Amino acid sequence: MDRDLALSLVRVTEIAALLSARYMGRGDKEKADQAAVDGMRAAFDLVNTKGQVVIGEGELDEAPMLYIGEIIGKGMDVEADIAVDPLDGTSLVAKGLPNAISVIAMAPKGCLLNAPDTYMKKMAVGPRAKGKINIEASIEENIYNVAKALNKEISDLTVIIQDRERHDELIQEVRRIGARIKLFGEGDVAAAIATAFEDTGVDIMISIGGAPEGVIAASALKCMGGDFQGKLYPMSEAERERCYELGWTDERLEKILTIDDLAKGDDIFFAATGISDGELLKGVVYYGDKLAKTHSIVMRSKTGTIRFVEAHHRLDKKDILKDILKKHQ
Amino acid sequence: MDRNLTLNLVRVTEAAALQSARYLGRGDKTKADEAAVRGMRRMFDTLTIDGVVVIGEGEMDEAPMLYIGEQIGKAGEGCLKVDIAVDPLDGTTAVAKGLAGAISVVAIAPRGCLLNAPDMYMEKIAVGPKGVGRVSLDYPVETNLKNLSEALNKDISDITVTMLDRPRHKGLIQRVREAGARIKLFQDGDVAQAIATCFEDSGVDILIGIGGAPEGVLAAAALKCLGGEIQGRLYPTKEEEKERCRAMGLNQLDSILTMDHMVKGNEIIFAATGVSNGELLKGVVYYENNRAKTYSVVMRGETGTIRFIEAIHRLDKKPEYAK
Repeated sequence: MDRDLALSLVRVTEIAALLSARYMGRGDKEKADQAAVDGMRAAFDLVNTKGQVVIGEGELDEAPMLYIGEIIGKGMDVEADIAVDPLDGTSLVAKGLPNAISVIAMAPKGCLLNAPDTYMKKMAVGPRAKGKINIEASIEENIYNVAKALNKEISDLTVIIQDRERHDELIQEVRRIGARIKLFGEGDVAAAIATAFEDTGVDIMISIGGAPEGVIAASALKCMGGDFQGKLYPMSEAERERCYELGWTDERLEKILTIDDLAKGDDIFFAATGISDGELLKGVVYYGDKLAKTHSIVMRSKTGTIRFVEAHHRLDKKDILKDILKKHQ
Repeated sequence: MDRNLTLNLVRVTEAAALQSARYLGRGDKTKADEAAVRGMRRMFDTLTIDGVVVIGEGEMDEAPMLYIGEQIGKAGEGCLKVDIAVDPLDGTTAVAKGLAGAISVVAIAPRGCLLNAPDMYMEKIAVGPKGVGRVSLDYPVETNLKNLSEALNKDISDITVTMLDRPRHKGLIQRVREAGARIKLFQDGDVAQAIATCFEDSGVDILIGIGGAPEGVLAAAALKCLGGEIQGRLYPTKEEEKERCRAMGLNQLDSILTMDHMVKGNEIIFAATGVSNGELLKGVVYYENNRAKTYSVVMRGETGTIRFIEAIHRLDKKPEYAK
């Protein structure tokens, strides 16, 4: 795919973040999400590649924009698969908590897994521990292997886990093994990406979270040379039904999903912009005189280039923003 | 102009910086410059533009690449016709000696919008957004400092003037000192210093002095995007230089060249990448496993967006034209 996509995608997440961040702390996660969706959808009209949403805001009947199957972007033919999470961490924005981001991944048609909206067991690591994780093996074995690959004591290793009751046993187990733990409330994609950057202090993600977010995280880790494994984990009969509807059999549900199963090939683009401050990206800051600052990351797996982009925006000089800002004052 | 050109221009300066920085401290400014030129030129070839170099490496007989008048870009049907101003390595001596402040810069604007400034000296004055309209090359330096002090709400003793460290500035330095302002002298890298006036954190408030005219146009492109102001006045030192100005139709040699004279309109894209560490941009750092990091800034006049880009490159995964 065209290398120009890289900056185009940053613009998309920047616009989503600039709009969504207006709802920081206002206690309204629906509106925060709606603003991100409005921004992302409008910004995508300027992208020169046409693609189909495979991971989005839900089914057509649940979401008016960025629904699964929607075709967006300019161009003659549908060339790409698109995975979006306009606002990863809706309640984080609503409460003004850290780590909310806006994310998008793109790959050639057929390369991103159309994951059902169910839970997924996940494990993610950065480049130095690539090939050292196995979601079927014990937690102990994984932690031991990753520590070895990073040349770190287990007591210096930090595991990031979502703070949910379903992880109580996992947390006990990690503590018994002797690793450090960082719990996070929301923002599954950001947590997985953090494993790929030493400075975040996060070494491995072990968690059960949304499957769609797993596809987005896998895309990002592919660009960074990290590793990701997942396994679908329907937690209710309804979720299991949803998997069957999408053609998943019991047998297939048992299979490990490797990073290549989730994000195939080596032509993947990923972009994310911080909405509230996080480990990797700073949040949106609004200044006087209609100025705002965003902090983003954009990557391309083919060349392995990773770009951090700090952008100073003139809110009154961007047509696309002016219109949507009126709606989200 | 096409939005997609913004990141592509960063690619151009990144490529030049990655090549040029290899010569840091090796004492060879020609090689450092050649590497920057080569890196820049090859990346330019991949851009879908129909470009003409108006500020470059010199006349055709002086430079093998990026000479004035050279056609660059893919230049096919429907390609945007643009003027290109480049300084592949602003600060050749800085790189040769491993000193601070070297950058690679490029600016583009629609055809006919960038002044084809002759390769000679230019008297300059540059300030950031808050100082716009408050300074002029026609005012004595004391008045400029006083006006700027008011505009910035800073005491004159807190104002930092930056200027090239050259014998020709001896008198000017004296006057600035007497006026009570601080001075930051620099050896090399005129464009970077002009840009620094637009960023509070750089600690630089105003650039004055005599430097290169081509660099003045590059600085004007950047300052227009940043909302700052620069004025220039050509400063020919030889009769043949005066002759050259007249040949170019620049008869009023003593008149001030405003930002609009140097850069018409606001459809400008400007990009710069640090080669060695500077106030605004860090230099190239090479890491293990064929990795390197660059720091760049790219701006677009139309929307006023300024992007700072920290890029981690995998040198072994670069396409052929970027190796």
